[in-house]
Amino acid sequence: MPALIRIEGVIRRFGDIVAVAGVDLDIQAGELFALLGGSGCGKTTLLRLLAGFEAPDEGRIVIDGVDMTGVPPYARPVNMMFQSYALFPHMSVARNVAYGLERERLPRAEIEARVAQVLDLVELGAHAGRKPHQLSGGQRQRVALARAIVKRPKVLLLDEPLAALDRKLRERTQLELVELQRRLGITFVMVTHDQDEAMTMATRIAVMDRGRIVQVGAPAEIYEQPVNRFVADFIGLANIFEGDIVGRSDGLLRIRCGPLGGEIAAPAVAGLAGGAVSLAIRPEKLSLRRDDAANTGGLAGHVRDVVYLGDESIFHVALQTGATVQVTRMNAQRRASAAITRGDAVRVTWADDAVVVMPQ
Amino acid sequence: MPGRTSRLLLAVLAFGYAFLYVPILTMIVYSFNESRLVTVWSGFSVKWWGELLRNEAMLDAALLSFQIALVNACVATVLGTMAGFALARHPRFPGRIAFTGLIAAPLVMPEVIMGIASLLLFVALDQVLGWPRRGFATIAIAHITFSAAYVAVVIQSRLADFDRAVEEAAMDLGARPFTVLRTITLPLIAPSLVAGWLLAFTLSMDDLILTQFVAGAQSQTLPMLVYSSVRLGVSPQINVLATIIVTVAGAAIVGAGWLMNRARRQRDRDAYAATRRA
Amino acid sequence: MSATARTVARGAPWGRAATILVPYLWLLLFFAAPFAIVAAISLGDYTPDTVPPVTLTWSGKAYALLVGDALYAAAYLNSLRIAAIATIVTLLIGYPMAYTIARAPAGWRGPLLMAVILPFWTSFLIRIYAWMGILSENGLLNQVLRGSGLVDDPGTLLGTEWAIYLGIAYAYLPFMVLPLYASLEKMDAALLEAAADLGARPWTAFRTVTLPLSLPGIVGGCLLVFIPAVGEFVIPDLLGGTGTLMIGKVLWDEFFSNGDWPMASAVAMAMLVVLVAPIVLFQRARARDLAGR
Repeated sequence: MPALIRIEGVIRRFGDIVAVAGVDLDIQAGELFALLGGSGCGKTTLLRLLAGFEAPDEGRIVIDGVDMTGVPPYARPVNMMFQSYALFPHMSVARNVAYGLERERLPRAEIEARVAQVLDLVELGAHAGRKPHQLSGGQRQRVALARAIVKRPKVLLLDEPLAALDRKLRERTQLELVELQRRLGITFVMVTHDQDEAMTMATRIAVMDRGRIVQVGAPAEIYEQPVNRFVADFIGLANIFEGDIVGRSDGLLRIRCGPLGGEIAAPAVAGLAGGAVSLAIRPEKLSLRRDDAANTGGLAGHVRDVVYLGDESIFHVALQTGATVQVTRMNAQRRASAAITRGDAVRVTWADDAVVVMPQ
Repeated sequence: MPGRTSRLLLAVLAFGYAFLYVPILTMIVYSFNESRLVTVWSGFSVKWWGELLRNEAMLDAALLSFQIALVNACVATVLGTMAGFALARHPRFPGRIAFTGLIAAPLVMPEVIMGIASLLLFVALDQVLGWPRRGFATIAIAHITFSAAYVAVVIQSRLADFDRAVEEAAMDLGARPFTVLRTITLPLIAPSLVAGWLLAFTLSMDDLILTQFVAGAQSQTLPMLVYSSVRLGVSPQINVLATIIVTVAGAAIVGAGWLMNRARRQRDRDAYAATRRA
Repeated sequence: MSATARTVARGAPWGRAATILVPYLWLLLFFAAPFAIVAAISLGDYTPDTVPPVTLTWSGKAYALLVGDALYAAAYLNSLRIAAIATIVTLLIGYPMAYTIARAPAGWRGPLLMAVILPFWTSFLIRIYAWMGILSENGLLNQVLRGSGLVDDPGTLLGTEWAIYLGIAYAYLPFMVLPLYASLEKMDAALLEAAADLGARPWTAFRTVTLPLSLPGIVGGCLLVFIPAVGEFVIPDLLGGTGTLMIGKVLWDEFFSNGDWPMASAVAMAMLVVLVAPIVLFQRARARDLAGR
């Protein structure tokens, strides 16, 4: 099946700044696709290129088989949910939602029916007559959503759709948006700087950095198998070290890494046979034990700090090799009598397949 | 924005500026005209400049206008700043709605109405109290009354954007209210005070109608003299006067704008350098 | 905000009282009180032999004349009509200018706006005088028209109502552009993108989003031009010629030429009555604008 959205070699410059530095990307129909990256990575510009507010300096964008070059925003089969919502302050909720349908010159009765239907869908039927400034933040967000989906676009673009909501509401709305997307079957392309949001919602994620796409994949793929240091560092917590490949045995790479106590083993990665590499180990994949007679394996060290987060705690452990690692542990019991605390002598161990090897 | 639309808008903008500036430029050009007919160019000359500078009546009128404008600007700035504070800082006090009306009305009130009203007041006061005699004082009072309203608007809109946290910080550090005003608030709104003062000065220098009503027989300000000579027809001396006024006013405004801009840019540069160091 | 205001006020009650009372009393005495005197004089009799030429009675003769002589009614209607047309002309010139300035790159907006205001800082009288030269029989405009060969006998604009419209539009343009610019500049550019995204072509987006959102600026600008234009004297006097009937000129002539103070006062009172509604509207608009910040 051909991709619904095809982005081919797109470059967009603003003066000396290259906001989008050559992006190739296919997005399939029905995906909930997230563009993830820090501020200034080009994700918003890419979204605006899709909407038609910006034109690419090079390359082209094809949506549903139609080349979008020169097609103005008002003629594209996509709609956008703005970060600021951009609700028309002088129009009621119903008039805001009807605005796009009125531009299609649909019959009055059909417009009213579709507006009522979509307002029910976002549970705002009772507020149809209100003005935007009379609504709460969450209600405004749903008006913006209703206004964008009422036109039944082929693609819905969402620019940081939940950034303006508080944390509780944001987490609930994430799941509601996913549910809605499945029900409507519209392709969503979402921009976010929040990795948790991208992981929770997206079917696929594109991680962007300095105008380029660094890695595209399902959330688990990106978390478990980051392609480079940037991705490993950007998504979740990671302990990252430098090392050198010194050999191979039983399908495992032998890597010399001073901070981890000498030679360690790691799963082989295609294309990496020798030389300097980066290693990443997620904190939850490290185990922590008290350093006593029963526990002798792994690396010795002592706990320098404990960050208590409720469900889990993060232990900062100074290893005897001189390195410091972060280790997370679930707080399974309410009061663990044998809790490890600051200053305790510990041993840190991990399985061979916990180590991710990446090019340097 | 499609190119066609933006070209059209640029054309309208250019037309607008031409509309504003061509009349002023023609006056400047014709102030150097040889001919007495201001509409026909007959050669370069500065003789009308000499004639204007020897025109005693004109010089006297200009001096009087300048003195009135100076007094007016200072008093109106004080009064208008107080009114601006009252409006911006005190959301509730008895008679506030009437007060906002007293500030708004002079901005739009036709001057002939204000003129006759002020004159009748001065005549009534003169008959009851024997003061003020028509002349410098009545002109200045009438000017102050309406230019203070303009100053109030300038100050009020500045204070509306004012970050009050800095005043609270000063109080927190032990400054009493008057000290806060003197050391924090007034220095921060100084550019608006300067703008208000210049505005009041210009309004006074420029006023004809109100002045004509309240001036009495003895005093003649510059606009009054210009008006009476213009009524008799266009005159090359007026072109010279216009050139002088345009040059002085333009230099003052552009100069003030440049100074403020330079101060702001210096501040921005310092802030940038400071963040770079940090 | 109000909590802070109260705190500061508690610190200096006399200071607060003074900032309100001093300008309040000044304006009451020198701006509001005179209208009571105007009202009293307008009811009195014109007595040319006394100084001042008024005898206080309650006859209301001036008002009888005001109603009885069709000239006055004609002058009022004419003033309203001329002011209305001139306001529309000013709006048509000012709106595209304000729009273009508000859409200009950020660094350009200040200087462009400054260039609109700059002429206002030079003499009003002299700027009107400049148009006398341009519009006269052999003035610049006719020289250009003749020189272009398009028109042989362009006629004279000076002395017509068109000259008055032009003069008002010229003199009051900054008062139109400033409020328009303020309302256009603060409009979120994302609103226009949202309109385009929802299928609105540029003109439709302008009509359905920009125009309604700039309405406060349009109302403010129009009132700032219309109200003073109704009572305008210098422009009809210098550009309009002898035949022009405007109420500001009538008042001026009653006062300075005829010395009839009661009649001039009655004309002023009647003008005030006509203008009360727009002035109140103007004050309301200003109060709303400030509350909105």
